[in-house]
Amino acid sequence: MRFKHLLTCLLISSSAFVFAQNDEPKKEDKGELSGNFQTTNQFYIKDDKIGATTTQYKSELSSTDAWLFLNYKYSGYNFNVRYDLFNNSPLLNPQEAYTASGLGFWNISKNINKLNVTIGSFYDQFGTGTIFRSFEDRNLGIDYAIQGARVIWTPNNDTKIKAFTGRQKYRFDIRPEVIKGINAERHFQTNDNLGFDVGASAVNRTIDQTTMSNIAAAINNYDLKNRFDPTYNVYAFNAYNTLSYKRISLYTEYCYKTPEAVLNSQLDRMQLLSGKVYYASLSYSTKGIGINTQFKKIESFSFRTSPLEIQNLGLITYLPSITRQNTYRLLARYNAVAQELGENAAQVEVSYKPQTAYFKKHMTTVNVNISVVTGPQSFNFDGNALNLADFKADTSRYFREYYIDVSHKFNKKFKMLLGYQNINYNQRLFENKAQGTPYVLAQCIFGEATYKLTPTKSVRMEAQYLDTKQDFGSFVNALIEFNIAPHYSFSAGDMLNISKGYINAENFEQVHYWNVFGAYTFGPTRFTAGFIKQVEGVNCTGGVCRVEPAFSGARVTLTTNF
Amino acid sequence: MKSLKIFFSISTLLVLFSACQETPPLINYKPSNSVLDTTFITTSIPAAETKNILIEDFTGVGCVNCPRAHETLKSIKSSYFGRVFSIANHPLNSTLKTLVEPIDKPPFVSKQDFRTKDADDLLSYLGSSNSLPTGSINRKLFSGETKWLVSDLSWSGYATTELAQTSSAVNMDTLSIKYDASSNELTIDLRLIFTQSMPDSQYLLTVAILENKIIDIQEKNDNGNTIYIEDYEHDNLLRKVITGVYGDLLKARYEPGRVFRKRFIYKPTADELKNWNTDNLAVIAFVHGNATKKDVIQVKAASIKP
Repeated sequence: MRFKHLLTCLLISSSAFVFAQNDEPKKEDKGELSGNFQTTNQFYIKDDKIGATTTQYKSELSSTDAWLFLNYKYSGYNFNVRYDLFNNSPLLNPQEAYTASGLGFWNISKNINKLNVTIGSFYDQFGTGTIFRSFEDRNLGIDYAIQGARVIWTPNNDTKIKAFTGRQKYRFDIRPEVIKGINAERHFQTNDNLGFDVGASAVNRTIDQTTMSNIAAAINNYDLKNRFDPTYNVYAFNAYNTLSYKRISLYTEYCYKTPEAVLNSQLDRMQLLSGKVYYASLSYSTKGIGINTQFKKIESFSFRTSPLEIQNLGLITYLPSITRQNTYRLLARYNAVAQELGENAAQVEVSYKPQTAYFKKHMTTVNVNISVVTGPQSFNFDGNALNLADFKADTSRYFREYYIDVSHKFNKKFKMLLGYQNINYNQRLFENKAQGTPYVLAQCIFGEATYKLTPTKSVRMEAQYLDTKQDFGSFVNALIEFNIAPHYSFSAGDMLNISKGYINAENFEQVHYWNVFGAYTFGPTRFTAGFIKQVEGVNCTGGVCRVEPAFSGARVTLTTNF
Repeated sequence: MKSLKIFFSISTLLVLFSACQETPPLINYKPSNSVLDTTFITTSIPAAETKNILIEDFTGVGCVNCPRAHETLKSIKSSYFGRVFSIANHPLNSTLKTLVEPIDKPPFVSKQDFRTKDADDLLSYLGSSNSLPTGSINRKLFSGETKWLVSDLSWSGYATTELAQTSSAVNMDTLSIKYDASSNELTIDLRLIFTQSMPDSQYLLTVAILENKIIDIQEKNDNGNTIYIEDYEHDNLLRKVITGVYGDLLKARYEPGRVFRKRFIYKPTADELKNWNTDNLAVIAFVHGNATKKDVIQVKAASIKP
C-alpha cells in the first residue's frame, strides 16, 4: 500500500513537473531512460551429505530473485526506481523462504546551482563508512538504503558538504529509528607534492518509543548489577585526512560514538558502552614495487539502528575486514569477520615486479600479504598473538594469514601463477560455533595456468589443496575453464573433501562438491547456467559477512543493461 | 565572510546535534524481596477463575477533584462487587507538587506525607500527566487514547469494557499477607496457575503493600469552593512496591498448568513503621504484560485483618 502511495507521488510530481515545463517554449526534450535488470533463479536438489536441507529443499524446490532498475534524466532532474522481486528466496535469510515484491528503491534528485537535493531512497557514506554507510549488496541480500532527504552543497571544487535525515530501509518496510548526519570535506593543496583531503562528520540515531520499551523491558530482566539506563540518542563523530606526498599516501581516521546500549553476544546481554575506531592506511608505490599497510583498532563500535538487531541487520556502521579478500574457492574459505566488540587488525601487502629485462619481458609479479587480527587486549608483543614465527593455535590471535603468489608469463600463449597461503582462524568466534570447537590451522597451495589456443579461444585451469585437521578437514579443488571470446565460457570443477576434520570426524565420507557452468554473453547481456554443490561457510563481501548453508542444485542468472 | 561561514557551520552542527539531557526509560534498580521463587507444571489444571480488573488512581491530598474520582471508583466497585481492585498512588512529583504535597494551611495540616517515588515511577510508566485525577484501567491502551492514563470521567466506561471479559488466563489461588511484629517481617505468599497457553508474550508480576482506613485531611471541590475534609478516609494507599516497580518477569513458558510459587519478606523501615498502621496493611498482586503491551491479566488483594 505504501508503495502505491509512493508511486502515486512519483507520478504526480513528474506530471506536475511536465505541466510546468509545457509553459516553456523550448525544443522538445524527451529525456533519457536507462536501466539494468538482474535475475537469479535457483532449483534445489536436497543433499543430506553436504547439509543442503533448508526449507527450499523440502517445500518450495525453486526460488527467484530479480531487480529492475530504471533511471530517467530530464532537464536536470533525475528519477530512479527499482522494482525488487523475491519468490521463495533464501537471499535475505538463508533459513527462510521469503516471498514479496514491489518498489524497493525510488528517488528524485535535482541539481540547483551548487546544491543537489534528493528525496526518497539514497546510498551514501561518510569517510570509510565507519560511522555511516548506506549501501546495497545483492549477493548478500543487503539493502541499507536510507529513505529520507539529502542535500549536497558543493560551494567550490575543493569543498563538499552533505547533510541528510531519514530512516533505514528493511525489506519493503522502513525501520522506525531516525538517522541524521552531516559531513564536510575539503581539499588543500600546499604545493605540487603535498596535498591534504580533510573531512569530518557527525551522525545521530534516535530510537523510537516502541523499540526503547523493548530494550528497557530486556534490561529490567537482567540481574540488578547489570542494569543500566539506555539512551534514545547516540552520536557518532569522525575526523579523517588523506595526506598525499609524492608517491606516499597516508589516510588516517578516528571515530567516536557516545555510550549506548550495545548487545554483547558473548554475555548474551546489553551493556552501556561507548565506541572508538582508529584506522590508518599507508601506501607507497614506485616503479616495480607497491606497498600498502593498514591498521585498524575497534573498541566496542557496534552501531546499528537498534541494539536489538543482530548479525547483518540494521547496520549503520561499515566495518570491513582489513585482511586480504581472496577469490580462489579454497583460499576464501576462512574470512576474518570484523569484530565490532573489539579487535586489532593489521595488514601489509607488497607487490613486486622485478625490473630486470627478463622479468619485465615475462611480466613476473610477486605478491606478498601478511595480515593478523587479535583480540582487543592482545595487540602487544608480550604474548604469542603477534609472534610471526608461532604456528600454534592461539584463540587471542583471531586470524592470521600469510600469503604469497608468483605469476609469470612464459610466452604469448602461456602464463602461470603459483602460491601458498597459511591460515590461523578462530572458528568458534567467527562462526559462533559451540564451545570446544577447535582453532583452525590451515595451509593451502594453489596454482593457475592459462593457455591461449587461438586469439579467441583459451583454456584456464586452477587448483588448490587446503590442508587442515579441523573444521571439515582437508579439501582439493580443481577447475577447468574454456573460453571462446567474446560470447562463450564453460567450466567444470570439483571440490573434494579428502580427509576428516573436527566437525565430520564421526561421519566422514569423501564428498564431491562438483559444479558445471556455462555463460553466454551478447552485448550487455549475460546469461549463465550452472549445476553447483557448494560447501557451508562464511560468505563475505566488503564489510558484511554471513554464514551461508550448503547449496545443491541448479542456478540460472541473467543480467543486462540498457 | 569567512567567519560568517564558520559561524553558520558551527551553528548548524549545534542545532543538529545538541539537545537537552534526555530522560531515560524506566529501569528498576530495586533489589528483590523474594525469598521463594519456584515454577513447575501441574497436571491438575483448574478451571479459569473470574477475571478481575485493576484501576490505578493517581491522586493527591491537595487535588480538589480527586474525591470525585474516589467516588467513581467506589461506584464501579459496588456495581461489580469483588472484581475491581484499586491502588491510590500519590506521586512524589515536582510538576504535581501543589496537588500532592501534604497540606500545610493552618489550621488544616496533614498528619502524613503520602507521596512515594514508586507512585511517581508508575505515573511515568503509564504515560505521565500534569494534572490530577488521572488513572489507568487495567493498564490497557484503549482505542483512540495515546496514553495508558485516562481521565476519571472515562473510568466507568472503560472498566465496563474490561469487565466484559470474565475468564482469567491465570488463577491466583493463594494470596496472603502476615506481619510478625517481633521480627518486624511482612510475609507475602502467592501462587499462580496459568489456565491458558500464552505464547509470544512476556508476563510480569507486581506485588505492592497498600494501607486502608487512614484518616487524614483532603481538599475537595464543593460547588466551586475548596473545602478541607479533616476526617477523610484514604483507602488502598500505595505504601511500597516490593517487586520491581514495573514488575518481576515470570520466567517460564506460559502453558496450562504452569505454576509460579512466590514468597516475599519485607521489613518496614523505622520511618515507615512510624506512619504505617500494620493492622490496616494489605497486599495487591497483579500479573501484567511488559513495556509494550502492559495489560493486566489478573489482580487480587488481601488484607492482614480481613
